[in-house]
Amino acid sequence: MELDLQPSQRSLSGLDWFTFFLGDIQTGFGPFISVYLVTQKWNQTDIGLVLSIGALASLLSQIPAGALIDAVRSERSAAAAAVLAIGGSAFIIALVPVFAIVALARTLHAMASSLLGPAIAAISLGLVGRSALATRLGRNARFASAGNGAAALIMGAFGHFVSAQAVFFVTAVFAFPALAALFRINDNEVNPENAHGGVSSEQSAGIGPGLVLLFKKRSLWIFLGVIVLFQMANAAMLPLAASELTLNAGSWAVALVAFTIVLPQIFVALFSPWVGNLARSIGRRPLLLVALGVLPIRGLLLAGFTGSSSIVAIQVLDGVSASVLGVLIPLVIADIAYGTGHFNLAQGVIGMATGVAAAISTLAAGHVADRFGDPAAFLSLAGTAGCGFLLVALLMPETRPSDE
Amino acid sequence: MTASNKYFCAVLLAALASGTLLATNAAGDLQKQSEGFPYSEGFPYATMTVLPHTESVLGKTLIGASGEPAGRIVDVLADETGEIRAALVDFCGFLGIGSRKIAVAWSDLRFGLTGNPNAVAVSLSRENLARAPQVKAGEPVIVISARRPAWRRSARQ
Repeated sequence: MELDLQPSQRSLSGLDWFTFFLGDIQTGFGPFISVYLVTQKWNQTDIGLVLSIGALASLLSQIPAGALIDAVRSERSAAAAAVLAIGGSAFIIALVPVFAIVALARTLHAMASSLLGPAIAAISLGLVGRSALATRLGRNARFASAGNGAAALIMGAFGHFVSAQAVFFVTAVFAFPALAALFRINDNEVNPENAHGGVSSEQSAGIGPGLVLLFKKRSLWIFLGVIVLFQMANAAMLPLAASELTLNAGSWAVALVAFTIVLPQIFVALFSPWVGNLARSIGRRPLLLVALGVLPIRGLLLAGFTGSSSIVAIQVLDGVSASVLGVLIPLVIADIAYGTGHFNLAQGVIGMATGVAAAISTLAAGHVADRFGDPAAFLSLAGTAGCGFLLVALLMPETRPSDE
Repeated sequence: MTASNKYFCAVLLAALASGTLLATNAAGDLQKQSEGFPYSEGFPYATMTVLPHTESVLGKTLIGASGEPAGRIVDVLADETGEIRAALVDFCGFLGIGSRKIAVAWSDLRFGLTGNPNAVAVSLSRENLARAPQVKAGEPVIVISARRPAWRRSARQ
């Protein structure tokens, strides 16, 4: 059913390192923007406004960005433009910390980030084809989390020892190795039809008809529900656990918080290729059950144990669900959307839903924690995760294609 | 005389005294000085003051009692009379995760002690700063201080 794709070793290693360096430029300056703007004498209202503008731009650009990746003939050029936009916006923010400029640069950065998520999955699908996608996504997740971990360490070190401004210059500089890796990928080996998720038998160009076509699929609705419930349960857990750490752990707090962030990343880097192979051999459903099953347990444990070392240990469970979903989210979307030509639009839909769910999660959990205490917040997050588990167990179909 | 007035006069007096321009006159009549102050001649101001050394507060690192950075000053809080009461400190997490806002009494901050021009010292340890009540929007701010309130100091004497 699909052409014989023979990607070169050069293209494959290019994709490896592109995902690695993206970790650096994507997570790059995000956590430092408010610190940096404070050192530039910005007041809290303006900082909050710029952060909200960025968050809103990120949410609103997810679906158009996916549609754009579906429409372009060269995924590589789209990715290159996005990397340049991110590097450029980091550079501009570092040089000209003026409200209008920073707000514009932050918007540009958000839109470019929305392009890169689908672009990587699209290049992968276009390069290796559907049957090898699971393995390839496992590899991507390994390099991405290694890149994220490295970024956290490098940016953290620069932020701590040099200045918050330096982090922005470092982010801009990392655009160059990312581009170098990207241009190792041979554009002719990336099949655009494959990258867009096959060709549809129906006429469905554009966002509106594409969404209609996608939402005719019941499995997309269910998967959307699963991911929303997962995010609503997951997004607030690390920040809540981290604030308990800073409250209780004294002078070790910063190191412990750093460890709770890096530990799951190490886990993902180690195990996601294995997850990719498992997704082919045992199917997607059992893995989704594990990812959603581990989350309520994590919530219950965090509600019960408040010691610093137990919080750090419980974060291993974060690594389990992160290594499964890092591979499974793009994979299941490809399963569902293949044959519509709207693979990346579907990724945009899930991306936007993820963003909204994460925002609701931190708001709601923060509220519950203020009113009823942290254990109550962890319990309600665990309950939400339990609903997600039930949704997978009762309704989620196996999406693995029969010929894989 | 309101508290803010008192504060204003105190600052003015201190500034004039340290400027040495009118040192002989420092304790004199404020009204007279503001009329005859040399710097304000030719300007539409009653008073112009030289501050030989000022420091911008926003973005300064807060150094705890053990000498390690504990957070960053992100705002300055005044009470209803306009008197500055506390520094709003973003108590540090890692990469923005786990950070919380706390209020440290303005009178506890020690400027120019650490050798680092971008740092301000307090005599509270990191552990004790970590236990400070969180500052939340729409709720009364609870300010922490290492010093006893005046009424308790006088009660002990």
